[in-house]
Amino acid sequence: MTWLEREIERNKKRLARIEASPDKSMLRANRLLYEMELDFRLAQLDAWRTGNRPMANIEYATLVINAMGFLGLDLMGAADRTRLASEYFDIIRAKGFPDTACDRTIVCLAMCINEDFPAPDLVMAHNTACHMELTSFKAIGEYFNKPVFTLNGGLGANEDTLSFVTDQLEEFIEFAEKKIPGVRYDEERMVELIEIECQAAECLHQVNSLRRLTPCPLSALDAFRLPRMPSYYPEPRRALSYFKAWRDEMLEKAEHGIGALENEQLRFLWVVTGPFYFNPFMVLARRGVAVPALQFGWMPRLFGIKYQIYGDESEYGRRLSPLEEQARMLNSNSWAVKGDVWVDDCLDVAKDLRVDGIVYYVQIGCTASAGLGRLVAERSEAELGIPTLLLEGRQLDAQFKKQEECEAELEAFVDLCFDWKARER
Amino acid sequence: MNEALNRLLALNKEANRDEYPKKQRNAGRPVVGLLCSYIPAEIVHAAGMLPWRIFGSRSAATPKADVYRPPHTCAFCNHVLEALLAGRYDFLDSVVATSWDQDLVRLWDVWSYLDISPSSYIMHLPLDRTPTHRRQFVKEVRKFAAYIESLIQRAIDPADLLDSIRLYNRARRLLHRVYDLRRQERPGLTGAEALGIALAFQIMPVERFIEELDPLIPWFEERDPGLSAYHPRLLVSSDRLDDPAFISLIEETGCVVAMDDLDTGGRYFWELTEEDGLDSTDRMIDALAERYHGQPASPAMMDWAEQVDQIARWVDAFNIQGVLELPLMYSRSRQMRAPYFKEKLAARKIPSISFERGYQLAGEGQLKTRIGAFVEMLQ
Repeated sequence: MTWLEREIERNKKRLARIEASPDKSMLRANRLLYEMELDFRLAQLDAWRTGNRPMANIEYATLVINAMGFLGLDLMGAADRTRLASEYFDIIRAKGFPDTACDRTIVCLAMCINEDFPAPDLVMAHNTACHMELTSFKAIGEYFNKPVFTLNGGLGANEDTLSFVTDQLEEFIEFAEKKIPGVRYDEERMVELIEIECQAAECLHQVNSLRRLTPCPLSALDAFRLPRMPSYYPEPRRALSYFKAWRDEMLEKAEHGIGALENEQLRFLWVVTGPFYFNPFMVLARRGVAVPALQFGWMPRLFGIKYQIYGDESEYGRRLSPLEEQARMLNSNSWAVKGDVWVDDCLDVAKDLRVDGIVYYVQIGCTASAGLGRLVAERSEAELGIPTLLLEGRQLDAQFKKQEECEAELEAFVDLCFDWKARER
Repeated sequence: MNEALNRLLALNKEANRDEYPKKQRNAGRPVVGLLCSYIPAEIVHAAGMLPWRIFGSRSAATPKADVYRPPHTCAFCNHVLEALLAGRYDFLDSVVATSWDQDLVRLWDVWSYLDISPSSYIMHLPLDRTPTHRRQFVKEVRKFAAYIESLIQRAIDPADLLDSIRLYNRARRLLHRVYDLRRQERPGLTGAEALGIALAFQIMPVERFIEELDPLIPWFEERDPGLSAYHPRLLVSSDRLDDPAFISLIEETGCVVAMDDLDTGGRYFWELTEEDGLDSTDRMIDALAERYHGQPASPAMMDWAEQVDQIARWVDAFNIQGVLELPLMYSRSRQMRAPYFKEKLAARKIPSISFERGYQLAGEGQLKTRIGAFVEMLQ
């Protein structure tokens, strides 16, 4: 059985469990999410087996990929869901790729090599989130001898880089239409997708406003729920209904003063990513530490903290074309640009949420964020008076750091933050 | 002549690298440190400043840099930061980087954050060679020129820029003559010496470099460099390799490094800037952008097929028997390209092997044994 088939079974089991005995403490929106995920995986499997629909990697030009009629392949997202990936690291080593690169970027390559996940029919190799993804996408395309289109973002969002990315998107459309029969850019579809995404983003914006509340209605796992926007999915309108349901449930919890923790005593901002092979928040929850937010590269845009992700005319002072909207989004990841943008974003969120400490996950091999942890730590202490734990680790490799070691570091940091807080008083 | 050659080569010793920039700065000429081979040195030179290629500390450990840069990050960047934090670049008036890869951007971020140099700048480097990427690079070079002009608080004189272009081309032509000698069965200089000369070009005033290299070339034509073997002939491929001792070690195994694919060596000077029709600053900028973006590509660029073609052309031109790739530790672009590179060279029946290396030369014994086995196989 391939990983994709196992993932389908996993989602089926989840849904069956919900059906059999609904757990009242779980969100009702989860059911919609698992249904959506199941259908997404089924569509991928069908396209893989029958070749009836072309597939392209969907991270992160989701609007264009969807509007061209491609079925999206979430290469990074699939890798994240492997949780533990030792067999994939063996494949990576055997094939001569570096096993110390960021986990998700190399594990997805190994998944394709191992025929656990389909390789895209066409690859957009881009660095709009990080350089590792660019090289990984390129390597996947070349390994499977698929057409590869390179798309580069700039070092910051401005008119110049906006037009650079828009020009490349136009070329991408031409390239894809030429290379893949039956693929065609549909601008009406694009406009419709933007409208759906704006509605989803509004939901995220509303959820984001709840993070400030004490007690925080969002659990750490809610904070870690990386929202895949509706255009990831073959049926975006259906995906939108999940966003609305999730938002409504969160608002309901907030209205009733229900917090994720019974006795919230501290709050941390978790930054970058985390270990996916165990739940690191249990140890924090036991000590009364809430984690209202995960700060990552797309966070300020996805949640409408800095600008709205689409349709926000204030950034460029004008209405953008649909392709420019996509380009604007692709240019907005604070991991992909100069480091001060990312460091400022981290501090802004920490300040806004009045957190007592920052857990900065120094993801081994992350070219985007690993080298900026110390800057966040120094500035957060100097400007906000809060400490930062630089927690080195990997997402999918338990050999690098065992659960106990990770928990011990977190415990020690909690003690430190309690001390700092007591000193403040 | 031997003494003149040794003088050039000695410049790249860690203790001597800053000899010229310090002298020049004391004489009132500002110094701009360049962290990448894609930054047009001619623009800095035309502004009356000294362009100086930044290399790292050759120390075994990097304790100061480790505070800012976690494990498994680019070894070159770590060693540069180590040298910066040890006060080795205090004389720089400005530092300029590119987005060659994200590690380099993050090095620049820390450099700027620490506020050690009076000024710093980063150029966006579009990583493909399509017309759109090339056009974008032209814009980036214009912005870079504007930055340099902001440092000198005046416009760069077009006549000065034209002179600089011609001067740098002259230096590159000399380097081509040096590298051409390596095509011979018994080259007049070793691979280590050739790299040493190319490195000197990047850390001393170009006028002085021309003055010192020019008279050496006829001597090279007659010279026996005293290598123990002239066969097999190897091409070495790597990035940020700035210590010719690596090449000496390879040649000590009984071969000659007859060509290199290095951003510090052949790739750096290979292309000339077009000199015809340069009747305005705009045209000169266009020509420089064309030259720099069009240089033999490094693995950070996404035209992997052309990179293999370039190697194959050099293999033919320099009668190479084997390609030795030395990926720098944690330099992701080359590491991710490695399986492709190996496969495509094999498809062309070009023997190749790859050994990861640290930034500084270490573990010589082991490296020598492994390279020796490859050399023996080629023999």
